[in-house]
Formats: sequence, structure tokens, C-alpha cells
Amino acid sequence: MPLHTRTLLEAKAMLAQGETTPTALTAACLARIAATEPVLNACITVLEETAMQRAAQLEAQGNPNNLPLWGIPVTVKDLLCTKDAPTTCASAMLAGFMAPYDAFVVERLREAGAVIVAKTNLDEFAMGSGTESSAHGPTCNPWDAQRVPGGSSGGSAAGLAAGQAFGSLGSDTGGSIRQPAALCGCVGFKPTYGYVSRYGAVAYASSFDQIGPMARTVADCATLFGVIAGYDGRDATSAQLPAPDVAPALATKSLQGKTFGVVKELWEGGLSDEVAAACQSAVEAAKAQGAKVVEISLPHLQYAVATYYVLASAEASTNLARFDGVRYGLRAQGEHDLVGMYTASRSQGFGEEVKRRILLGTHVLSSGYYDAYFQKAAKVRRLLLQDFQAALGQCDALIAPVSPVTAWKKGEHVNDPLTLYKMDMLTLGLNLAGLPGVSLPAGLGAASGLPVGVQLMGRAFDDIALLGMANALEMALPRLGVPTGIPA
Amino acid sequence: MAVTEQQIRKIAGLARIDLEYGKTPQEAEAFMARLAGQMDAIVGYIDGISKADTAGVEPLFCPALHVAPPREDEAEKKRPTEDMLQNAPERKDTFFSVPPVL
Repeated sequence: MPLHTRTLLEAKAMLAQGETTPTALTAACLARIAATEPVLNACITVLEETAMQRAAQLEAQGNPNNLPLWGIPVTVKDLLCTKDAPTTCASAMLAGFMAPYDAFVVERLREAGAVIVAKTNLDEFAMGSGTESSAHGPTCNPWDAQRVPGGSSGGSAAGLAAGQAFGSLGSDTGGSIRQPAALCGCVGFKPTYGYVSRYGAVAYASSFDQIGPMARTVADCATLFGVIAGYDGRDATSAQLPAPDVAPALATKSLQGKTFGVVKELWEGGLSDEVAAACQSAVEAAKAQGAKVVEISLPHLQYAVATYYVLASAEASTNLARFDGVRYGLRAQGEHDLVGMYTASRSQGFGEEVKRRILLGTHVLSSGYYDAYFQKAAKVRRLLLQDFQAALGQCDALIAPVSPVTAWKKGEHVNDPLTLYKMDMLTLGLNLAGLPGVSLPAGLGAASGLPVGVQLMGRAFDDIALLGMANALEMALPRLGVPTGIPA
Repeated sequence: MAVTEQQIRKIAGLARIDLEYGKTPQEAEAFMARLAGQMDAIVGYIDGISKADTAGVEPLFCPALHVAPPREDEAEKKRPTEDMLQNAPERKDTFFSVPPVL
């Protein structure tokens, strides 16, 4: 069995037993990156030299302190700041930008002994659902290279499915961890808002953005979550909680005594037949594991897509005002006054989707529209949170599909942004409410043969219980096998 | 409500974006027409939130319902000036340099 096909926990056990070494694992992942990148384009920066040096250093030191990720190769989405590699956000605006510090989660990975092998591709500034709006070029889906990997953490998901690393960190603003995980056949976990510090993550929509782990199994995701979660005073929304003990999640093997809510609005309309069928099988699998299943309604969910695009675009237009060509990033040449330089730099540096969202955000915040859009959407957001809280008062987790369809063809929707926005309808309600959600493979679509994801959504800060339920459900779901669109 | 090209230009100006930057007049015309169609569809769709009954509902701007007390007011060692200037597109001594403001 090739090293790169192992799970993170298997690799960890092999390291502990001396069956492999940090340098062997890192070399295996770098070889896998070299073999698959001509097809995938999942990585923006590959850290061959620093990764091998780091692995050799860890190997020489041994693991006397039992570091939880000692010698494990991982990737991080290229919007997380790293002081030893560029952080581009897949934008021409930040080409070559070197952050003077590590993001909190990158600090945590390093402290835990992980080896960062690459920084992964994304939709520009995380705005998109197909990793097509990247200045680095689109990433392809390892199950079919003509198709998108989902987004915005598409590079992380495609790379994991292809064996480029044992885990990755992504970010989820409206589904950007869960949806690419679903479309590539891996696991993605969006923690409760505030559980993982956003310090050093380039902001898109600050009241939505949440960093989380991606991996090939729930247990691997839980292990990474245990490393990156916990209080950080440098993020004003960081909850004062210690790093969680993930052992109870790993030990949960049954759903006896648990109640799952099937949110009827998430199963109505727009689902392809194969997605509906695979997710229905996952509900049956949950029952087989002992869960009781009830039907639940979230009546305000019909407004979620519109509410999200008002609020997230507004926050984006504010957050991205910092890119003005003064302190960092691209500066257009040949402008002779300050406002001209701002305008030329932003016009040249941002891609089309980013500009579209800045325009929408500026529009909903502008004089005369603020009450009708921004204020109104914030009120609907509270109603939606109340819906989720009421639903999760009646059950332990909600279960739903992640994406209404399997991976679509590259370029299929590039001129129709509204259709793409609506693709997020199953994931972004959770971000509006700030709750945790985990996406795991439900099986392969009967028609397309492409991965289908199912998600569980849970109560605020009950992340470990949610991962435990996902762990138990995963045991009853089919294994997807090896992706068919890349070199073996 | 319909979104016109004129409105889009005004909003873009507020956001310091020139949508026609680097485009030929023909490219700019085609792009603006396409963008206006897209923005009109998006704004038409988000207008749907007006139907939600939000009477008496307090807005929710951030879902961080946990209390986040301010950290201790302690002096911190700042990063070296050179670190902060390392990505500056243009600098003069220890300052960021910009074109004339007036």
C-alpha cells in the first residue's frame, strides 16, 4: 500500500512504530505532488526544500514530547499567512506577498510537529465555489480533470484526494471547506465560529470566516482540530476555551440514543437524483447505526442565499478596502495622484468575481440602500439562527446533502454568477448561524460516478460531539476508492 | 429594482475600481453590458429578503454569541519596522511612499 494513500492516523502510527520516517513521508507527498500537479494544479507554492529540511530536523530530534503531528506532511490554503512562503490568496493583488508572521493555526501546526509541504489553490480571496476564479489558474477534480473540485478550498480538497498530504487547513465562509470536500470525496470540518482563531487568515467576510481541517477521514479531521482549536487573544471573536480533547470523538462508534433531524428545506428542489439517492442512503446508514430520524423545518432558510450574499459581500467590500497599493500588494505604475493610484491598483489587481462582490457589497452599504439590504439581512440572520437553535433543541444533529449536484464541468457556469451563488444554498445557512458542520463522503453518484457528500450540523461549541457522530456515521458509509482522473 | 450601467459606474467609483481599466472601448462596452445583466439578476434575487417578516427583530451582525472579554492591556513588543516595510511597493527611509495627495 503506497504511503500517500494512508490516513493521517495510520501514518502517525507508522511513525510511532518506526515503520516510516518524517523524511520518507515528506518525500512521498512531494513525489505525489510532482506526479499529480500537471493534471490538478492544486498547489500555488510547493515547499520542496523547506519541507525536506524541516522533516530531517524533526527526524533528528525524534519525538520525545509526543507531538501530535510529528513528521506529518500537511498543506494549508494560500490565504493563511506563513512567514517562510508567499501568501497570495490566489490573487494578482498579492503576488509574491511575504507575511511577516505565521497565522495562529500555522503556529499551532508547527508546534505540533507538522511539515507544511505546499500552499493550496483557492478561488481568489476565497470567493467562489469551483476554484475557477484563481489568478493561478483553475484546479481540477481528481475524479475527472474536466470538472471543478469545488471551492473555495478546492486545492486542499483535490490534493487530499490525490494523496498530496495527510491533512490540510481550509476556510469556510459559505461552505468553502465542506463543499470541495464533498465534490472531491474527502472530509471537511467547519468548526463553530470562534473555536479556531482567525489571526493571520486573510479576511473575506469576518463574521462568517472560519478556519477548519480537511482530511481523508473524520478521525484525521478531529486530530487536526484538536491541534488548531482553542483561545487566542489576537482574534477578538476567539472563544475562551482550551484546546479540546478529541478522544471522545474518535471513540464514538455508534449513534444509539442520537436523533438526527432531516431538514426538509434542504432536501426539496434542486437536488440531482443521484445526490438525493446517495444522501438518502446515508440517512439509512445513520439509522442502521442506531440513530432516530425526525423531520425538521427551518422556515427562514429560503432567504439564506440572499441574506448571505448581502452580508458577506458587504463585509468583503469593507475588508478588501485595505488593498490600495500603499503598504503591500500590487501598485499600478504611472499614476500621478493618490486616488488614481488606488483605483488603478485595485482595477488591475482584483479579478472579476472579487470586483463583482465588492460592487455588490458597496451597493448594499450605500446611502439609501443600507436599511433595505444590510440591516434587513442582519434581521433575517437572527431569525435563521433562531430556526437552527429551535431545530437543534429537538435533535442532536441535522443531516443534509452538501451540494445539490456532483462536480460540474469547468467553465459551465462562469458567466452566470447567480447560478453559482445558489449552489451554496445547502451550506451557507450554517455560516449565517455560526454553527459547526462536517461533510463526509456518502458514496459515488449512480449516474456520474463522482463523489457525493453528506453533512451533519450541530450545536455551538458541541464540535467534539458532532465529530463523534460523524465518526460513527462514516463507519456505516461506503468507501469511495481511488480517484480515477489522475495518475495512480 | 433594476441596476443600470450608470449606477454600476457610480458604485465602482465609490469602491475605487475602474471597470473599464485596461480594456479597449469595444471590450469595455461588452463587459459593462454583461456586468449590468449579472448585477441586475443578483440584485433582483437579493430583493427577495424584503418578503421576510422581520418586525421587532433585532439585527444579528455576528454569530459570536459567546462573551469575548478584552485581553489584558499590556505593552507588547512591536514587530521591527523593516518587517512592516518589507512588502511596501515604494518606500522612502522608514515610510511608505505614495504619489502626491493634492
